[in-house]
Amino acid sequence: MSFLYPAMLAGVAAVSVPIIIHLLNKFQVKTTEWGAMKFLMDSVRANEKKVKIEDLILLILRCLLIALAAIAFARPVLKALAGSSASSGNAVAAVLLLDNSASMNQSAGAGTLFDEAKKQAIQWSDEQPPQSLAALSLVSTQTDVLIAKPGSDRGLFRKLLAEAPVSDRGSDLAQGVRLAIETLKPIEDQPREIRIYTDGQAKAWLKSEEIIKLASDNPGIRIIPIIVGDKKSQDNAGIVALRTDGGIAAAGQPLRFHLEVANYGASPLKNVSVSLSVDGGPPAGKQTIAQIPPGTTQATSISVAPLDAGPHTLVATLGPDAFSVDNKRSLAINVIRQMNVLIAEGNHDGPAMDRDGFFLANALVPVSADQLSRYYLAALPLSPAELPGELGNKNNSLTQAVFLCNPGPVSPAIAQALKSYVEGGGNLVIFPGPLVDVAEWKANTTFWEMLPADIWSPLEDAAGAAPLKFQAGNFTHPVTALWNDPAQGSLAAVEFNRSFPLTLRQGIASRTILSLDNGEPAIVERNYGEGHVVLFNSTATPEWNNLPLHPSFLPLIQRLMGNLNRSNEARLTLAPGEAFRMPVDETHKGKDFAVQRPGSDASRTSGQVVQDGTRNLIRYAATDLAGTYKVSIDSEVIAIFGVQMDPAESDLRLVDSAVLAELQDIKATEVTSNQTPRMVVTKEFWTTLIWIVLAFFLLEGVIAHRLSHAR
Amino acid sequence: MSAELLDADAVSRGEALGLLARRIVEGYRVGEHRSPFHGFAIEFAQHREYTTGDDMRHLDWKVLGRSDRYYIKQYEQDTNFVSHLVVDGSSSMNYGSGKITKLHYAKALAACLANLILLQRDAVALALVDTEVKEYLPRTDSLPKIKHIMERLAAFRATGGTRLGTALEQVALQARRRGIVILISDFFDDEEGLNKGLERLTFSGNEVIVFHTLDPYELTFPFKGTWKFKDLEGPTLLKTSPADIRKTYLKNFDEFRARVRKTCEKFRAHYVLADTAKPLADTLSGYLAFRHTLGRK
Repeated sequence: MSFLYPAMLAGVAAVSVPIIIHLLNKFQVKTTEWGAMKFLMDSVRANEKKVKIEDLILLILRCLLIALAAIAFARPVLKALAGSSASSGNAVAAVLLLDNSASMNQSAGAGTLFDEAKKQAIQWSDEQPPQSLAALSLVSTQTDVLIAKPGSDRGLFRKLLAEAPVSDRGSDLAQGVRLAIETLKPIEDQPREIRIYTDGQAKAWLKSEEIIKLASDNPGIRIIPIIVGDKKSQDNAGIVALRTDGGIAAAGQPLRFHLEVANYGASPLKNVSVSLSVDGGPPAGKQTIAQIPPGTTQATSISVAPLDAGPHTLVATLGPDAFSVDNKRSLAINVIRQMNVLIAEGNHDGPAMDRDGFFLANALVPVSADQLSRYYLAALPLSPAELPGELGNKNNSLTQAVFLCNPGPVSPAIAQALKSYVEGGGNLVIFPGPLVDVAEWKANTTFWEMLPADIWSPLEDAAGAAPLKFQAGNFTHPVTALWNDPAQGSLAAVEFNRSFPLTLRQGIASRTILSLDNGEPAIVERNYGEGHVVLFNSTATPEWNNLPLHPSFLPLIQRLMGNLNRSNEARLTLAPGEAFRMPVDETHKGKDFAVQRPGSDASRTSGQVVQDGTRNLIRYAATDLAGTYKVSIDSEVIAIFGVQMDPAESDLRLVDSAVLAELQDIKATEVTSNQTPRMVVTKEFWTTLIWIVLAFFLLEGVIAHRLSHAR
Repeated sequence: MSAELLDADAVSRGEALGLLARRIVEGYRVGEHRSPFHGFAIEFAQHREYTTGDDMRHLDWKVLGRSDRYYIKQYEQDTNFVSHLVVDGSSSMNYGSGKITKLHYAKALAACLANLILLQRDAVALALVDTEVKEYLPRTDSLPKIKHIMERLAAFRATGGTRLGTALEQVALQARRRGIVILISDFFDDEEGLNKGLERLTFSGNEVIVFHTLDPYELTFPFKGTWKFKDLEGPTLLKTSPADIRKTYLKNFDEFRARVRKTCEKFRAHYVLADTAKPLADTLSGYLAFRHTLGRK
C-alpha cells in the first residue's frame, strides 16, 4: 500500500481536534446551586455508563472520520511491478484502432458494425488486468487520436469510446498502424499490441504490404486484426459519382447530371432505378439502368427542368440495401443567371474587327444581337488599364473569367488586381501577342509567378519551314478529349506562323491542355489560389495563327469555359474531412458563420470569417458526414456545399484472408527487458474511502442528533 | 406584574410585601364582587323557603325540579372561616434561575392570599415550616394585623431541610376548626410527608390547596456544557453534562410532579403549579377563576 499524495496524510493530525473539543468541554465547568438534587442524582446514576459509552463512540467516530478523510485525500493505492506475471496476468500495452470509415455504417443486428466494434473493444478492456495500458484512435483516411499515450484510466477509455463517432470517410489502416507503432515504441517493459477493429473491407487493406512490413520490422509489437460482423462479403450497390454534365449550369437552361452506379455484388443487378431530387423536393428526374453486371459500374444521365439562379442541392437516390450510406449522394451547385467575361484587349480602339478580342467575343457569345440578354455569358471588351477598376467593383463576383488578349505591358496594379481575382476563385485566360514583351512580364513578379509555364520570346518560323500545328491525336485533357473522335474534325489543321515557346513549370502542378505537333505545350493551365490560370502560346486573332478562323475555335473556347466552370463548381463538392474554403466580401469580415449539417434542422455557429492575406475566408473542416451543408452569415445562406462519400467505401468485399493470416504468423518476440521495473497502480481506494467517510459522517450526524450531543 | 418584575428586595421587606400584595389583590378585585372562598366547602345545614331578595344562586334546583317548590340552601357557617397559609422554608426553596427564588415567589403568593382573605373578613393564620413549624402566627381576622403577617413573611429565611409530614401535623393541631389549608412548597425530598400531612389535614375536615412552586430551570433543565451542581440542602456536589441526562431528568421530574398531583387528588386537594417564570397575578387569578367555576356548580 502506498499513497499518491502522501503529504495529505498530515491531515491525520486533525484527529486531535475532536479530542481537544471534548477536553475543552470537560474543563469549561460552570457552577450553580441546585435544589432538585435528588432527580439529578437519579438521572446521573441511570445514565452514567451509557453516556460515557456514547461519548466514547462519538469521539471515536469523529476521530475516524477525520483520519479516513485525510487518508482518502492522500489517495492510497496498491502498486505492482508493471508486467510482472505474478501480479498482472496477461497485462499488455495496447493501441486500439477503431475503423470509423463509412463502411462501418453497415447494419449489424440492432446497430451498426461500428457499434459492434465499440462493444468488442469495451469487452476487451473489461477483461484486461488492471496493469494493462490502452491508447485509442479512430482510423479512416486520417487518424483521430483519442488517447495518445497508453494509460490505465478505464473510465476515460469507456467515455471516449462511447462518444466516438463514425464518419463517411474512406479507409486507410496503414497510416493508423504506423502511428500506433510510434506510440508503442517507447514502451519496452510490457508486451505490446495493436488491435485493429474493422469490418475487414478489402479497400482498407490496400496497403497491407506496408502493414505486414511494419509488423516484421517491429517484432515486439503484435498486430491483431479483429474483424467485426459476420465476416462475409456483403453484396452492395451504391451511387459512386454525381456531377454536373455539359456546359455551365445556367438559369433557364435544362441541366444534365452524370451519375454512376456500382454493383459490388456477386450477381447482376437489373432495372436499377435512380432518381434525382432538387432542394429536398420530390424526384425531379428518374432513370432506370437496365443491367449492372457484378463488379462493374454503369453511368447514366438525368436531366432536370431549368432551375432558378442561386445555390441548389441535388440528391440522387438508389433503392435500399444493408449499407444505406451510399444509396444517396449529394451535390451542391450554383446556378448562374448571367456571368460576365472580361476581355482585356491590347488593341482596344479602332474597328471591331481589328481588336484583339473580336474573335474571342464571338466564340464566347455565339448568338445574335437580339439574344444577347438571354444568353448566360456576356462578353465585355475593355482595355487592360480598366481591369483593376472593373475587378475591384463589388459585382466582380459575377465575373466568370478574364481573358487577356495581347495585353502588352502588365502594370503592377493590373497584376495585383488579377492576382486577387484569381486567388479568390476567378479564371484567367491569357492569349499573348505582338505587344507582349516577355522580359517586361518576367520583371513583374506578381504576374510572372501566376503563369502556369515559363514563356519565352516568340520565334518566327523559318522561311520555307513547315508551320507548327496542334497535335493530331491522343488528347487526354477533358477540354480536348472531344477531338479523339475523328468525326469532330481535326485540330491538326490549326497552324502557327509565330508563337511563344512555353515550358511547363515544375512543382506547381501545371497541366498541358493541348500540345503542338513537336510536343511543346500550346495551351497550359494551373490552379492558383482558388482559381485557374490558362496560358495560350499565341494570339486570339488570325495574325499569328489560323485558330480563330478554324471551326474548332468555338467548341474549344466553349469547352474551356465549361471546364473552368466545373472546376469552380468542384469546389462545392468535397470529400469527407476536406475543409470547405470560400472567400467572402469585406462586409463579412470578422463575423461568425453558422453551418447546418446533414440531417440537422438547425444551424449552429461554427466559426468566424478569418483574414487570409488580403482575402476574407470562411473555413470549415468538420465535414465528416456526407450530405449537404448550408453556410450562413447573419441568418442569410451564403453558400451550400456537398460532401460526397469516398466511392471506394461502397465496395464491401472483404480482405483476402491470406493477408490476415500472414499478419497473424508474425510472432511477437518475448519481452526481455532489464530496465528498472516500473511500478503501476493496480488498485485505488479513494472512491471506497470517500463513501466510507460519507457513511461515517451520516452515522455521526444521526447518533449526535439522537443523543443531542451538540458539542 | 410578571415574576421577573417581582423585586426580591421588596419581598424581603414587610411593608413593601404588603404593598405588593395589595396591588395584586386590588387588581384582581376590580369588577369582582364575590369572594372566591365565600361559602365554599362549608357544611350544608337546612333548606328554607325562598323569599324575595334571596340570591338565586343559592336556590336548590334539584328540589325545584322534583317538587316544583322554591327552596334556598342554608349553611351551617358561611362566614369567617380560617385559612392556614403554610409556606415551605426548606433550603431547596432558595433556588432561582433568575432574579427571584422560589421562596420569594412563595412569600409573595402567601402575602397576596393573606391580603385577599382578610379583605373578605375571614381569618388567616400563617405557618412557616421546614423540618417543623418554625414560626406560627395564630389566626386573625383583623385587617390592620396584616402588617404583622407581612413582616413575619418578609423576615423569614429558608435554612433547613424538609420534613413536611411533621410540620403539617403540627399545623393540623393548630387548625382545630375546619377551614382551608394552603400549602406553598416545592415538595422536594418529602413526598411521604406530603402524603401524611394531607391525610391528617383532610381527616380534620380541612380543604387543602397545594401551590407546587417550581423554577422554570427545574421544569425544563435547559443547561448546556458541563456544570457543577451544589446541593442547597446538603454537601453534595455533582459535575455532569446536563445534555447527557436531560431526557432522564425530565422524565423523573415529570413523574415526581405526577405523583404530587396524584397525592393531591387522592385527598381531594387542589393542585396548582406555581411556575416562578409565570407572573404571580396570572397564577393567582388562574386558580381563583377555577374556584369560581366550582362555586357555580
